[in-house]
Amino acid sequence: MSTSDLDRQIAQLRRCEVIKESEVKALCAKAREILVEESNVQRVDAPVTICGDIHGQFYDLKELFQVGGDVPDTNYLFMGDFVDRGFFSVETFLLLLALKVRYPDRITLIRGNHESRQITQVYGFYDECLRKYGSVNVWRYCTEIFDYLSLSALIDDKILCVHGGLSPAINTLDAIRTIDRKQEVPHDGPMCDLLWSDPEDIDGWGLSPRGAGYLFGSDIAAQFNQTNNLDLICRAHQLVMDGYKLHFNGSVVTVWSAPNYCYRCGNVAAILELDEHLNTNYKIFNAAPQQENRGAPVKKPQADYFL
Amino acid sequence: MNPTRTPSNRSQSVSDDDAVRATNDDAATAKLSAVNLGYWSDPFISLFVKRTDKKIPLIHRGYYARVTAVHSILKQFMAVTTETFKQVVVLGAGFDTSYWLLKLAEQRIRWYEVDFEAVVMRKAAAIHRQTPLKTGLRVSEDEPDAPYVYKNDGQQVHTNRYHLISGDLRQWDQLKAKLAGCDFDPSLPTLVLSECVLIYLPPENAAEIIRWAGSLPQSIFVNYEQILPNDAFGVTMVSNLELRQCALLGIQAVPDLEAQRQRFLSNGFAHAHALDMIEVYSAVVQGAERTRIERIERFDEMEEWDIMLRHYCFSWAVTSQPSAFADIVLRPSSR
Repeated sequence: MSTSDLDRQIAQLRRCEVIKESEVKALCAKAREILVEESNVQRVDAPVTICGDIHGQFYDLKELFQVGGDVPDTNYLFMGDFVDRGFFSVETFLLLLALKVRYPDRITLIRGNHESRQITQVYGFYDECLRKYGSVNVWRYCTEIFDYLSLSALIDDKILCVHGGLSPAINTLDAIRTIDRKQEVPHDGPMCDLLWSDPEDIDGWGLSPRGAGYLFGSDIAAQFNQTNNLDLICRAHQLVMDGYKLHFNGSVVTVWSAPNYCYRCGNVAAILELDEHLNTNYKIFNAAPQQENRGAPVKKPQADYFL
Repeated sequence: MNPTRTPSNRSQSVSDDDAVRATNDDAATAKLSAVNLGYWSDPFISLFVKRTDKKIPLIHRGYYARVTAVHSILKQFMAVTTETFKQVVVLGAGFDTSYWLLKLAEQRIRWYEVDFEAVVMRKAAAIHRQTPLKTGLRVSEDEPDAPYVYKNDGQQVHTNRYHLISGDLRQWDQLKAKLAGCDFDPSLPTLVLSECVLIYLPPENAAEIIRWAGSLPQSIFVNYEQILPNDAFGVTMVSNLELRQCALLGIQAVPDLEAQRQRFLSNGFAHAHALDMIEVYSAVVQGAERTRIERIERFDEMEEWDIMLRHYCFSWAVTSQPSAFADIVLRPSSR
């Protein structure tokens, strides 16, 4: 695959047009070569802009790039949940993946709990692939790539980024490094917890109402940060109406990047810009105006309610 | 799920009757999707809708909570012993299957379903075509009101006890006359059920119906509908539904739990309760049943679940006091 091919595919995806199945296959093969080399705790240098869940809200991702700057001008870290729920998971994930292949040092993608064969069959990505390609091959290529996505990122040795949160089976960053990640997200255990857990105002550990991962209290976060000489745990995974939310006196932060989540929730979104000194700047943005589709016959996104 | 507008003002109306009628299909499809996964059992809903448009777990669980809550109240109402017949009026009934599901033809109950003519015709056709629906209406020949009568002209359905009637809830006087023509007796204990129906009416029309129910000596009114239109989620909800031509015309008049309660109390009811659906879920889904429900599907919508269910209100009110009906509360379901 030549750079000009890749640039053409990126241009196409930026217009929210899917690329051919054969191109997806080649793109995934190329991405796999890059991702397989990445650590479970992928090192990233500041300055970097950290993003939370996207969930197939393609036009809102374009809004995000408007607010945060384009790749490769801005160095990005996406904390997973690229797919499911929104109407453009295919275009969203393939664009991010193509950017990763084109500019591997300017964009980092780590895995969210929706980057999973099981979850995508419940929450929309599987059906969307089938609808847009007439077969599940693209879903298969993408879910194989999901297994290669890193589990976390470490910015300048001080900020740990992970989709969900902590695990009772993990006390050190080295414990994350020893996980064999190249598999479907398990139902339990440390890899599952990193992608599913949530901070909560409790002492110690609690059971998660999600049926996977754990709830962890401020004492757990403080201990983990101290043990690993960290300043901050940055995570996504939970809708927060204001786009970001600090927990436990600022030792943990949630960043959420899907505005008007599911075209229904009315929330704003945020990205977190870190400068070279790790100073934080949260940028808030709203949903893209709907039907920005240039007259193309696109089905109106319709959010479900109880009627 | 209800009224008909005259052609003259249809063009200016924000809430389109066809779109409101379509909410019945959406609800029935969602219920079928949940039933297919085993949330609850309803062999009748698939006789009304064929299309299985698979919904997300949040929608399944939310419909389960609603159906369970409605049936909790309905079953307690049925269980109260009375010397007379009891009556149920389902406003904007759509493809409601409770009459079959709870085997109500076997009880001393007169059951009235009211909806748009177009919806009523589809329901009447399904009843005519589907044997389980038709036989499910049959009243035993041992009953005092035997022999069994069944009339279905495709426009309405009448048995000795079951009446499917078309009409416009905005013309309540006409509907009252139709009810009276079907042996509706204002003096009998009566339950009025409205699920996502009153909210599509102009507030004065909704109040008129509640006032009528509040004037009955022994009545209980059960209402389920959206609330909280003014926070970020609520503003989006109102505007999304408006885009679908289903304007929530009544939501600003009764915007929260307390307003829902007060609407009953100021229209003739002695006691009123209003809970949001998060509270309802905790009240009706407990123990082993809760474990069963929460294991049906992986659930990754906790925050949305919380915010969405807080925007739905379940309320009920009773007129008579003291009365056995005043003791009706939400009870946990069990299998």
